[in-house]
Amino acid sequence: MRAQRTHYSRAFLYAIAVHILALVLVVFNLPFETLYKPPASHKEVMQAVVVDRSVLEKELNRSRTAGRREQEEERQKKMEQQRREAEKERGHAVAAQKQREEDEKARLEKEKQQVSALEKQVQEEKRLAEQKRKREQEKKRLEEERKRVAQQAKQEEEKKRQEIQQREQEKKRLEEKKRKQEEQQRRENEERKRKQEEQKRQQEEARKEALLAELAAEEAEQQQQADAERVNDAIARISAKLARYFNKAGLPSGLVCKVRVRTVLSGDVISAQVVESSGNTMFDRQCEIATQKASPLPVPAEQRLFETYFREVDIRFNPWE
Amino acid sequence: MTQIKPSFQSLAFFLALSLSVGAQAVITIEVTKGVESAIPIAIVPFAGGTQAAAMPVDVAQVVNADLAGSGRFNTLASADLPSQPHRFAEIQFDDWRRLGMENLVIGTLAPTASGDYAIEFRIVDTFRATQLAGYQIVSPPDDLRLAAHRIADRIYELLTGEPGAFATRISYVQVAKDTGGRAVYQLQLADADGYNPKTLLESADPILSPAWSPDGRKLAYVSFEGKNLTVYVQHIATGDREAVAAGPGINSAPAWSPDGGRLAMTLSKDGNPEIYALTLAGRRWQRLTDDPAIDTEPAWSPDGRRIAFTSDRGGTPQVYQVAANGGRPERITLGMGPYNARPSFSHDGRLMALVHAEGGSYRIAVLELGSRDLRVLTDSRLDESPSFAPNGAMIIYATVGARGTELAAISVDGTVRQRLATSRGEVREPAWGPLRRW
Repeated sequence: MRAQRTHYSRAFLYAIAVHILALVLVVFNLPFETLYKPPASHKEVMQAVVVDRSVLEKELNRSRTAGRREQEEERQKKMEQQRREAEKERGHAVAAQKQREEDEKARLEKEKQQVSALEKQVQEEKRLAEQKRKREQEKKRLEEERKRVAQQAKQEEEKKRQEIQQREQEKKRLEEKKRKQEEQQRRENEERKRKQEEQKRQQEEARKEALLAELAAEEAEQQQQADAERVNDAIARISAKLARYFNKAGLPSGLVCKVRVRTVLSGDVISAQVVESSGNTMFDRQCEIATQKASPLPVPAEQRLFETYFREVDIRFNPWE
Repeated sequence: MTQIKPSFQSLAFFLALSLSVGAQAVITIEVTKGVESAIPIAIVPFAGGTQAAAMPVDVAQVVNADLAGSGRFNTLASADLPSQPHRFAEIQFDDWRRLGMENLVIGTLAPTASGDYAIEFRIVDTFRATQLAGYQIVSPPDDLRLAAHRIADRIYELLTGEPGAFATRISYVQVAKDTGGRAVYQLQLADADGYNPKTLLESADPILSPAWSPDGRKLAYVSFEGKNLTVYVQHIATGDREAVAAGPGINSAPAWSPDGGRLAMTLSKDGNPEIYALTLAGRRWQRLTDDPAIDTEPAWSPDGRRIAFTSDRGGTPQVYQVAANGGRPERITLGMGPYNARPSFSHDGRLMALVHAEGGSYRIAVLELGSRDLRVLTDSRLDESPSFAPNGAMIIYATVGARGTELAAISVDGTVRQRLATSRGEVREPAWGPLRRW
């Protein structure tokens, strides 16, 4: 397209050049011949001439626009008139003209040859142009192909990029997922670990507790044993003390009486009351008296034992061993 | 003696105890032993009793002496009394508890319009703050000592479960000197503590072996009047007497059967001192022993079935016994030393008091017949004539003390010995009379 435009614009430029040339010839009334002295390089001019008139016309017509076209036409008419007037004048010099026509003929031949050469050249040019066009086309195609390829590549690249991106995203996602999973896993592991540790800790705790309980039980057993010993010891001492104060004198033998005794930690007897009578007032009485007289009873000094066993005791008097 | 109803019941101290019975299991402590020790008792002088001018007798003091002398009681000297309450409301129980005196006797003594004395006394349990017993006795002034002995008997019986023998009498022989320096033999009757002696018989010739009839109204004894040993039975109240054995030779050592119907004694009418039993009703004799050795000093067992006596048929004086209706005697004191004589049964027949000699010392011993356990009670040198109190708690005997012969009483466990208040002179052969019926 652009090539086409270039092509047109180039043609246009040629047209303009021709016109300008004509104009110059008209204006300055220069002899065409003199004028026509192709410069060392008038390839362009030749080219301009070579350009087919139709195209030029077309171009010119096409270039006449709106108001300017009429003006131009006017101007051209004027110019035509001037030219024809000029030619009229020149008819005067037809003889000379003949010569000149001869010359002109030769020149035209020459020019014809030249034109032929030019045509050839134009053909060549055309061919070359065609070639060039084709090349251009090819080039364009190639370009397009290239572009397409490039586009494709680009697309592919884009695709690839997208894919990569996707992949990356996927990767990222997966990574994220993985990370999350790992995180999850980690958390789960941690949780599990924590739970395991907790469990372990609890087990350890339980084991410790069990051990402690065992120890405590053992200790309790030992304590119990120690307690039993101390309790029995206290019982023996209390019994012995009561026996020292129990006066059998004057009492009928074979009687048995039970007295409930309340004491305080000091062993002091707070109360002594017959709970199972012997049936003999004086014997029952002596049991109470002996208990009171034996006060303070040698109860264990340890409050726990005292509270458990000795705050209240029954004393069974059967002093007839 | 009338009993006073307890006017004071348990005080709050003991009432509070009933709330103390817990619900939980209570350990039981067994007390399988005890002691046999004197029973603590404090006797507070009776109100009015210490006014010597008005009161001829310190009743509380007599009671105190009786109880203390029995060996069964641990009394408190009046100087040691923390206070002298006369009424229940005045008693500070803690004071007595602190002293371990679970028994307290308080009382009053007041003259009556008729000239007698009204004695009120209470036996109080200081640990339970209760009255154990309370009595009232009305006594003529002359019998205040006797009244005191009866009070002591009540206390004794209440606290020991056995009858007291303080309000009993003893008989013994006292040898005095007349103005010419000659010996005068007197058969004496006195309270068990030696007070209030009365002479039942006085003689220039020796009087021996007084023996109480079981009813306490008569005494049998031996008199050497007319230079012949004669066994008499004399009514205490009237002084009437009769000779029940006056045969040739020895008539001595009378002993009453528990039923009072027979007298065992030693007679030598058959040539050798033997034990005979005389049935008083009808004057029938029964010879119980037949041995060339000396058999004497018979003693009737409380059940009346046996007669113990002293015999040297084994070489040395030892105690034997024979059935009350005769039979083969058996030796009781076997393996108990070279000399055991003068047997006397306790009221329950469980114990036998005797004179036990070893190493030249004659001492009072008690033989437990069941276990054949012989315990020597005294540690003097010339003890003789042991006689059980009618409750078996004490033994009266004659001994030689610092001031000559005297009477002494010792608790049957040997723990308490007391000298009896007798007038000066030689005293012999005490015999403890039976319990009196009031």
